[in-house]
Amino acid sequence: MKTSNFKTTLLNALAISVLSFPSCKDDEEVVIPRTIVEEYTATINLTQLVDGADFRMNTTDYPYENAMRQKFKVTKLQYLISDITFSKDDATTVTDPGYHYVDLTNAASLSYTLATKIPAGTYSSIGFTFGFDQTDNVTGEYQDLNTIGWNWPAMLGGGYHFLRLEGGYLDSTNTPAEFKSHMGTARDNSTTPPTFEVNHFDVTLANSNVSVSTNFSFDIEMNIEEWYANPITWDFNVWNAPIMPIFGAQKALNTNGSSVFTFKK
Amino acid sequence: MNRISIYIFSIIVLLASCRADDSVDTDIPPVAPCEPTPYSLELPPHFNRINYPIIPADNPMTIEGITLGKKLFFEKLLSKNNSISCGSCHAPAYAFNDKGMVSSLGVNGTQSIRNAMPLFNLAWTSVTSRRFNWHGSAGTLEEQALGPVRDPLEMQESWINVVSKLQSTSEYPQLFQKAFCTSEIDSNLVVKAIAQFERTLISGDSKYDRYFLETEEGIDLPGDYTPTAQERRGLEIYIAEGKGDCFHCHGTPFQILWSNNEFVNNGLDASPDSGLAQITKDPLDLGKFKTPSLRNLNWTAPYMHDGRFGTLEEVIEFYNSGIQSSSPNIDGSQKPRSLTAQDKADLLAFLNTLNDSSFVNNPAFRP
Repeated sequence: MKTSNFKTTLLNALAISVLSFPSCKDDEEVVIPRTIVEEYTATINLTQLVDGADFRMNTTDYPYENAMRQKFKVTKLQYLISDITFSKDDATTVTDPGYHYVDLTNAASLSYTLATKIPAGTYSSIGFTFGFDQTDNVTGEYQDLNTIGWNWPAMLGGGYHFLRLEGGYLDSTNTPAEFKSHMGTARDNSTTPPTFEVNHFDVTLANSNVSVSTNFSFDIEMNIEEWYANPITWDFNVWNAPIMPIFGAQKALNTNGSSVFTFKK
Repeated sequence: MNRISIYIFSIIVLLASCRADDSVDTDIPPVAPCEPTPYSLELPPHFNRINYPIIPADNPMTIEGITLGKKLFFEKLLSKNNSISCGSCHAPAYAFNDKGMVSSLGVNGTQSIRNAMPLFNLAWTSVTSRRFNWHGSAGTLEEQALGPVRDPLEMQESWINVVSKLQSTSEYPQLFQKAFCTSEIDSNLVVKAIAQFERTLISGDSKYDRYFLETEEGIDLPGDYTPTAQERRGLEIYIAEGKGDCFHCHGTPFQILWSNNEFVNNGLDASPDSGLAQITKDPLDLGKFKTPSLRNLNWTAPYMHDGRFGTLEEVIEFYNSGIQSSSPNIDGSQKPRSLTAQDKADLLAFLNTLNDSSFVNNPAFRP
């Protein structure tokens, strides 16, 4: 019985297949041949410099100087980037919708392989969002960031930290003091009630044109001194810690941030 | 004998022979399949806000393993003179802390160096710092459980003796057989079982958890909770940079665990205890200790790694005015606060919303 059924089914299948061939041929005639575009893996190395030299953290001395000639050292550097975007001259873009948390005490976090493969081609620039944009900066949304306590307080607008840059400086009396440059949503207390201003910024890396024809990698360099120099001269004696609730300090980091990052192949 | 009788006789003989064969088979002990029952952690719904704990691939959780681990946790055979167990210094009614002791007493009354840590939500340490104990001396829960048995200030026993004692009992070989498919006990299996039990010690049912579940997760439980005005003010002080600024180490409500599990020098002493540096040999780790969770503070006094503060009021006052700013590697958040008496009372009121009485009273965690 089973054999008989099998035979019947086989014959039916053969008949259908034979009848189907002519229609397949018709379909093939109308199919427009597609060009297969190869896709490649992009790996980003997150590097850090101060005044063009390799960055050293947790030094015993105060090896760096800001634009006000205030000596400082760094003891913690953590930051978040998202939405890495490759743009072409014709305005088409490829965006990796993920985010990446960098912690200088975790060597593995200094390399970021995008989940999105990048199609072969020539891209005129690479960019990213520092922090989360308004759409992505959703309070409590990300398990891994919640687990490490990367949240930005609800009273300051919620969402997540974008930056934690901490260290020590020598104050106006040459006495060691601490600074904590934490950045996230900016609360403006000058309005009633207080209002919240998004504080991420979009970076388009200068001279970041790439021609993609194989798996590739590049560096995104953070030039740390730029946070405190350009165009707003940062005074550690005024803005040391806490600065999270200070609207002006939050916006100053945003403004200075636009010149912090550079591209290196 | 007629033909029918012969047939009947033959059938009886055949049946008898069959029965005889059967009896031979039953002389061979049946090999019972060893299949410990897999167990998944029972997490409160809002724990989905943080990463799921990492369970070691070589120590999957099973009901039999947890049962054995609980029995071993309260087993005094693990100590030199069979006088103390893990549970002697980690009492369930005190959130697995040592009943108010500044430092715990080992075999023959030897005094340990540091305050016994409370035990709950330990499974998440493997997601974050991956270091256990105040000074980060163990990388896994299993490794942590190895230490106290042979510590000269704690249980003072050799693992060889512990294994021998357990092996000679009538019940432990059977329990290990059920949990690990072998009745041959060894120290690795002992600590695996204890770690399995410890991973079940989950605390997530405080007043604040119930408030969070309703407001953030939309889960309306019987016995839901609305914080008082004072508790709400306390949370704001807890969060605010320039006020309490507790959250940079102990997390916001979305962090759930109320500790980032990292190691920090909070400025207790100008010349601090070595802390994490004892393990890493890195001078940058001098004075750093594990950030404890703020859950269940009602039962975990005294506070700090050396139990120097008997009350939460003392702890808050330390952060307000007692920080030693010259302490090496002091955390950037550690600056003297300017909290008013009202601020301090509000902060205390908030901290008390993190007490989870259902955890300390959970019969599943009792011997």
